[in-house]
Amino acid sequence: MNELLIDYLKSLSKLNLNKLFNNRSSTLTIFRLLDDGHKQLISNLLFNSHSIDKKSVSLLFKDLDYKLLLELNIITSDKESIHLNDSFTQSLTQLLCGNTIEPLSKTITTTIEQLDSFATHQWEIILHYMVGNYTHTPSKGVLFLLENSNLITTSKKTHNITSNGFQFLLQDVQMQLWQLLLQYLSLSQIRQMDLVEVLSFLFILGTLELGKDYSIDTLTVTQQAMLSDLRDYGLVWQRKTSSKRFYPTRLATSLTSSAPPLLPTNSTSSFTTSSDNKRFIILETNYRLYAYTSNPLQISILNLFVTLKARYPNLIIGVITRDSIRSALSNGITADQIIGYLTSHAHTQMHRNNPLLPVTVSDQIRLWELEKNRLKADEGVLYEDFRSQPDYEILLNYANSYDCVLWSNDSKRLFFVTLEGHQIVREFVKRRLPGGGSNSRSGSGTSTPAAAAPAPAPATPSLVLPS
Amino acid sequence: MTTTSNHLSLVVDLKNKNVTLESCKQLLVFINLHLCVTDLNSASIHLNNRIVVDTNEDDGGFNDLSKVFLDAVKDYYDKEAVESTSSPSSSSSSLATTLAQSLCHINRKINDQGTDASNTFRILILAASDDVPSHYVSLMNSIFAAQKGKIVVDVCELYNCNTIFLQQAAHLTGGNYIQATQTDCLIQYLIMAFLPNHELRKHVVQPRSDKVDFRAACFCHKRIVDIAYICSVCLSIFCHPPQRCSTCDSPFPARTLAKFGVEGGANGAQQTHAHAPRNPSRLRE
Repeated sequence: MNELLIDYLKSLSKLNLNKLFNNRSSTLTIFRLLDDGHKQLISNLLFNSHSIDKKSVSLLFKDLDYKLLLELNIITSDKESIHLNDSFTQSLTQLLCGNTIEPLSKTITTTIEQLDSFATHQWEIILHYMVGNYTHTPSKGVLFLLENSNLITTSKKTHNITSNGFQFLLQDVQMQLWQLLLQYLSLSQIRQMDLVEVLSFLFILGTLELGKDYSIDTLTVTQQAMLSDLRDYGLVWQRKTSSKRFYPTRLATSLTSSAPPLLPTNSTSSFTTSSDNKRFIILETNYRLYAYTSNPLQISILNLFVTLKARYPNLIIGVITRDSIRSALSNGITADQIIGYLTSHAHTQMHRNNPLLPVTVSDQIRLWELEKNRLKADEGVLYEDFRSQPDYEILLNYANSYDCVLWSNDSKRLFFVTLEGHQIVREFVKRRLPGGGSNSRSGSGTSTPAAAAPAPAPATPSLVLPS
Repeated sequence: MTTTSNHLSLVVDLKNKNVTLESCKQLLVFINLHLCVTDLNSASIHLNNRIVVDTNEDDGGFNDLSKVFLDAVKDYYDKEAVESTSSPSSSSSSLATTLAQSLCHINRKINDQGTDASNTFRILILAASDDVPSHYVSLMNSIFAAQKGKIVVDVCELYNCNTIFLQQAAHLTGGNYIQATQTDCLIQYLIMAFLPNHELRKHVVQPRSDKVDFRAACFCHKRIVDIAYICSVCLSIFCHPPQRCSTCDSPFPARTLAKFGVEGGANGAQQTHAHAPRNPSRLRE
């Protein structure tokens, strides 16, 4: 979550960052995102004239790189010294001196369990949908977001999980949440929403208290509009859509903390905090896979690359086959992702083995992937019909000196150069071989089919090479 | 995320010298900053044998915390004023007992969290009183317990106090020892020296005192001594060679006692520089 968010903050303009620093919740969140060393530097400056010369920094810290702080506009630097941003200082000092963020209301009218189950339910709908379990369909806004984040692809009313989507499922909930929310932020600009208001509302959510209700009156129009989207993600709960109050769920209050964002509500829940429950897969050398789980989400994920054979109340038996892996690969899931998933969820019994997964299986999965990647397509131009061998050799040597030859065949006097190389070689042909020693064919028939190549011939002039 | 959770136990000792309200407020800001660093951090304040506040247990905001702490300090001085008028110099500093109590508090947390947790603990002693030699043994026992539990003990001295025991405490547990002479900028001392956690301290240039006063207090008269007699069995320290060790009851050899001209026979005792026992796991009284 940290790097994701920091990278995003880095991309913001100085003006937007300054606006964020005016908000105490945002300031606190950004402060907490930083490294310990950076926090220490800021703390040192906070009550001490807000500036320090660069020499002193190197005296105080053994190896501190404060480039990030400059990028985030928290400090500014001139020739000799660095200064702390005024708004940042002011917000943080106020926070430290006791002006905490006051809750908007303190009446407890709903139970935390209710909120937890709501958040878990909403979030599970999204994840289940991604792996092709369509019992509940998330709202259009969520679908739009998922497609825009390139997590699923839609074709002819069916949704397929992408490679990114699979990677997404392997992450913990907080990472997933932030990945979606950052996507939401980048879309918010298109929807004419003020970026700073959206971001600071997310940061405010992170500082609210679970189980308390908050009035929407203090929110801006943009932030009120966000509420319906956030409800779809399970971040906030409202009694009615027109309700004047909202309740942040655990997903929201843990946005900027390290507490677990979802608590297991029942035995089939996908979100368990204990690491033992994450380790449930036994993989045998005969490609058989036993998964001790009854969790529908995990089963759906396994179903992406395993042919399931039998299901018992707490156990799934399946086989890894060439077809099952190929179908996963064709969705864009890579062999490394599959092996990574199997490794991180391997049963404790498997941890006795060294290496963890049977080598036969992991190697075979990689081989199946290589099978798919036998062909490599490059765009370029084929040179053919040379009149004489010397002509051919001069041109080939010239092209070789520019390192743009992708393939050549001496006996047939053919060679293939990249598109960039074509310009150079053509100039050379015009200059040196006025008779027009060869034809450069840039038509459609330039691809030489490699043996047993299942890949479609590229439309642009290109050569397909056995890799 | 490189940041790990860190629990700060603040042991405040206010005996003898009055601490201004300003210092207390700065101390509170420091605690707040410690809590701000990550949401995993927690803190507890121990004053006069009492756990004033623990952010893990009572879940109040910062305003509650400061109110509770300031009230506790006020109570303490009020009570002190009453006691000193009735019987002057009756009560002594409660530093040793409060420190022991904070260690027990930390120990309970360590036991609660089990084996796999990555929580780290440290103690910051804010001392505004001089050493009490009679507390030497119990204080050193606490320090050795902290050393064994890998709990760093930092010491911040207010007003030029003379506490060689606390210097040793910081030295033995790898903590920092600072004398905050200008109390109006106490917060800056606290931030520079005591805010960094264990990990960060490796990367920050920290104030270190080269000279540590290693003198110990003798077990018999609780006097701070340069040179003392050490029991060769249990390493107890005595300013005068006794017939028998008061701690382990082993007799000092008669010949050694005689060498030092002590009555009671041709006995003798070892005389050693009383560099407090280097590494005994505990001292007994």
